Amino acid sequence: MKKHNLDLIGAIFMLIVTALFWSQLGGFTKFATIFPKAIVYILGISSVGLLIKAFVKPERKALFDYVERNRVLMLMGLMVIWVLALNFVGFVVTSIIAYFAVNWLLDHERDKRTTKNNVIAFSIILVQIVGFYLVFERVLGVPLPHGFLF
Amino acid sequence: MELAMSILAGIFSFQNLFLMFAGTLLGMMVGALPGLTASMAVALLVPFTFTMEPISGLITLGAVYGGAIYGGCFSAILVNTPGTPSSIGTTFDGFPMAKKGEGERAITAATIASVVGGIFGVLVLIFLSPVLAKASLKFGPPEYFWLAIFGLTIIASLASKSMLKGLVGGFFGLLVSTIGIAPIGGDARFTFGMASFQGGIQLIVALIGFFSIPELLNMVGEGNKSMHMEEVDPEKKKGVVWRTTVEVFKQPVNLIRSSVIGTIIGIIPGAGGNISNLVSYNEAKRASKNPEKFGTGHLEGVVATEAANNATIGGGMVPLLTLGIPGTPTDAILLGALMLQGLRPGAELFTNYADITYTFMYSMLLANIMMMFVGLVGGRSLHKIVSKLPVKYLVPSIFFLTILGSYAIRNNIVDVIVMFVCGMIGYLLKELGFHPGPILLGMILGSIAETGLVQAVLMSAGKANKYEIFFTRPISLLLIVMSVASLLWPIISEHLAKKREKGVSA
Repeated sequence: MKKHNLDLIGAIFMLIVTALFWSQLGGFTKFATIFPKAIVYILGISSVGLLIKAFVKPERKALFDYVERNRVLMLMGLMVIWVLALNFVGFVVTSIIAYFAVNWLLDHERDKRTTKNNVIAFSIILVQIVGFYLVFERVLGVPLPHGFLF
Repeated sequence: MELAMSILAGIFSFQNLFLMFAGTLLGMMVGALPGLTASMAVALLVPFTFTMEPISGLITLGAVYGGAIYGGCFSAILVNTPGTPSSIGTTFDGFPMAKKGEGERAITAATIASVVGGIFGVLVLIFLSPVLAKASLKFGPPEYFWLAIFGLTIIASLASKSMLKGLVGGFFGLLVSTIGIAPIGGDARFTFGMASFQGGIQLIVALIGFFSIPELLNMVGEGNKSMHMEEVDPEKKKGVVWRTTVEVFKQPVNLIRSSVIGTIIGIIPGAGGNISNLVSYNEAKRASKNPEKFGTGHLEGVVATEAANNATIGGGMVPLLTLGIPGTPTDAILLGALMLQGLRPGAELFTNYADITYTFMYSMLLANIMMMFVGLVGGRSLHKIVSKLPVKYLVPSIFFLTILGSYAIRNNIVDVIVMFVCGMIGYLLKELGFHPGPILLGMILGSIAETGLVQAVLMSAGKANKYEIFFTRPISLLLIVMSVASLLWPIISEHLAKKREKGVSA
C-alpha cells in the first residue's frame, strides 16, 4: 500500500485551518482580537515548521490501512444518515432503523442470519432505545427530537 | 460531642445511607456514559432533592458528584472514550491496559486511586478550608493566564511521538476554543455565518467526537468480532483486585502527589478535574523511573489521573463552602442547591449550620468508601460485558450513546452534528499522527488563558507597560518558573539519563 507523507498532509490541513480563521479575524473589537490573533499566527508558524519537516524528515505511513476499509466507509455513511435524519424523522424511529442497519453491516455472519436472529436483534435494539428514550424524556425531562414520525 | 453525635446520626441513618448508595451508583452510571457529565447528573437531580431534608439532599448530590467523576474512568478504560473530561488522561494508559487484557487491573487501580484521592480532598476540605480559601483569592487574571500556560507545557507529555505535532494540535485546540462569544468584548467570533456557533464548540461534544468516533471506526476497520482484548491466563486473573490494590498502595508518592495536585487545582476557582487529571499525569510521567512506559498501558498513569480528578471534588468545595465561589460548573450547581435549601456559604455555614455542613463533609468520606465496593463489583461486571459484547452491538450502542450524550447537553441537534464532524476530523488527524490529548487540552485551557490575558491587560490600563503585571506578582513568577522547568524537563532528563549511562559504562 502506498505510503503517504503524513507531515505534509497534516501541515496543509493546519494551514487551511489557519487561513480560514485568519480570513475571519477582521471586525472584532480590540479585546476580542488579542488572543485569537496571536494563536492564528502561532498556529500558522508552527504549521510552516511542520511543512519544513515534511520535506526534511517526513513521517511516512499508509493511510486508512484497514482490513475492512469498505465496511468503515459504509459505517461512516450510515452514521451521517443517522445524525442527519434524527431531527426530520425523529429520535426513536431513526435510531432503531440506523442501529439495526449498523448491526447488520457489522455482522460477519449476516449471510447466515435467520428471521429468528433478526427478531432477536431487533428486540434487543428496541428495548435499548425505547428504554433510554423513556428515561430521558419521561424521568429526566430531556426532550429528544420527535421529527415527523417519532 | 453534641456535634459529633449529630454528624454520626445524620450519616448513619438508614435513609441517608441508602441515598448515598443510590447517589453513588447513579453518578457512576451517568459518568460512565460518554457525554453525560457530573454537572449534568447533579443538575438533573437537584429538583428531586427540593423536598428532602437539607442534609439528605446534600448527601445525595455529593454522592452523585463523586460517583460521576469516578464513573468516567469506565468508558475511558474500556472503550477509549472519557465519560467526563476529568478522565481524559485515564484513556492514555487505561485503554492500552484493557487491550492487553488488563482491563480489570486498570479499573481496580482507578477505583482505589479515586477513593484515596477523594478521601484526601475531603480531609483537606474538613481541616484546612479557611486557610486555603484565603489563598485561592490570591489568584488574579495574570495568575490564571500563567496557569493556562503551565497547563500547555503538558503537551510535551501528551504528544506521543512528535512534539511538533503535539504543539500544532494544542494550538489548533486553542483556536477552536475561541469560536463563539468572546469572554471579554462579547463579539461573536469565527461563527462562519452559522448562528448556532455563537455558543461556541462545547468541550464535551468535541471530547466525545475526538475520542469515541475514531475508536469505533478503528474497531470496525480491524475486522474484530468483539472488542479486541488479549486473552489473559486465568491463573493470572486470580486475586487481581487484591494484587492491584497492593500495587497501587506501593506508589504512595504518586498517590499523594496526584491527590495534592487535584486538591490544589480544585481550590483554584475556574480550574477543575479537566485540568488536574492531565497535570498529575504529566507530573507522574516526569517523576517516574519508567517514563517511556507511559501511554503504553502503565498503571502509574491511571493511578495519577484518577487520584487527582476525585481529589478535585473536595478541593473545589473549599472556596464553595467558605466563600461561596464555585470552582467548577458542578460546584456552581451545588451552590444553587445550598441556597435553595436556605444555606448561605460562609462563616455561618460552619457555625449556625455546622451540623449540616460537617455531616455533608463526613458523608463524602463514607461515600468514597462506598464507591470502592460499588465500583469494584460494578467495574468487574462492566468489564466482562464490554469485553464479550460483539462489535455488531458494541459499535452502534456506543454511537447511540454519543448521540444521546451530545444532544442532551443543550437539547440541540447541532451539537450532535458538531460531535460527528469533530469525530471525522479527529479520525483524520489521528491517522496523520496528531494525538487528541493536546487538542482537547488546548480547548480546555483556551478560555482560561484568554480571559486571564485580556483581564490582566485591562487591569494595566493607564500604566506605561501593560504587560508588566504578568511578571511582577509572586504567584505569577512561581508559575513562570514552573512552566520553564516543565518545558526544559525533557532536555534535562535526557541529559541526566546520558550522564547515568556514562556512569554505568565507566
